[in-house]
Amino acid sequence: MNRKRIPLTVALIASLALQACASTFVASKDGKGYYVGNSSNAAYQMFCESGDMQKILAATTTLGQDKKDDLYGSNCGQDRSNGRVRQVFASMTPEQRRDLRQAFKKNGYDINAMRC
Amino acid sequence: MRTLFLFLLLLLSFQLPLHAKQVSRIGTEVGQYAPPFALSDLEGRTISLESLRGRVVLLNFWSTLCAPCIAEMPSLSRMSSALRDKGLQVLSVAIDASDKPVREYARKNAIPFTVLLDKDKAVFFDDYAGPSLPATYLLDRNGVIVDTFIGPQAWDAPEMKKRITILLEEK
Repeated sequence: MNRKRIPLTVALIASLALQACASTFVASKDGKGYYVGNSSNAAYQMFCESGDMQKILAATTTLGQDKKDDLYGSNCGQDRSNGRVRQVFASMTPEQRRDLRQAFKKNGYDINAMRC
Repeated sequence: MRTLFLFLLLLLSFQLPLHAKQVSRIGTEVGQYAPPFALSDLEGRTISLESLRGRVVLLNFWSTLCAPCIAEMPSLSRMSSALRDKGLQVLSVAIDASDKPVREYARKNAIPFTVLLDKDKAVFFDDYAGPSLPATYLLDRNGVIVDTFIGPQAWDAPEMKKRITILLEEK
């Protein structure tokens, strides 16, 4: 029984690790942190209900409206998706990522990497 | 026959610039030149990726707050010590907000390779698009990414050492 469980447990841990690795970055403020695009209610309250995501995106100067809409939708829209955030983030230029990182900072957030 | 030759020549002329364009691009995908950067090491010296051109580089992003990063450090150290004389340069970039825990970790664990500091995460997030930690890039002597590893690895495993040794033996 236990022998059967070991490969299953290993596969489960591996799949969780792979999922975690596919996540985007973590933004934290006032001792709370969530990965951007997280579909939890707590993350929604922190980034979206507070109006912070709108302020952050408004503070950027190099992001086009399409990228802003994409980022806002994948964080605060009905189909929130960290995978989509990751895609948008990867498609941005280094200057745009710098701009976004600094906009998070200007609005009191510290950003960090997701751990695998 | 002549038409076929001209057709093949025309086909090649389209393929070559395409290939050259792919290799010349800077980015974080395999086959692209790794984004250049210059950061301070623990002694305050500025080290640029460009200065290591001509050497095989293993570029590792990590943090003292990242347990999987810490978990792979012993094997990374062993592999670095084993292959340093063959020309491998391990370059680790710590993204901790403060250098103190990085210094302490490097001292306590006698880290045998260069540790750079990216305190505001500008290189990691802006230039390397901030994948999850640990993130490691294997670069050939021209600075082109030949492999990407996201997540902890067993760096001194025989197959990993073999992979890197093959690259070190390429001239």
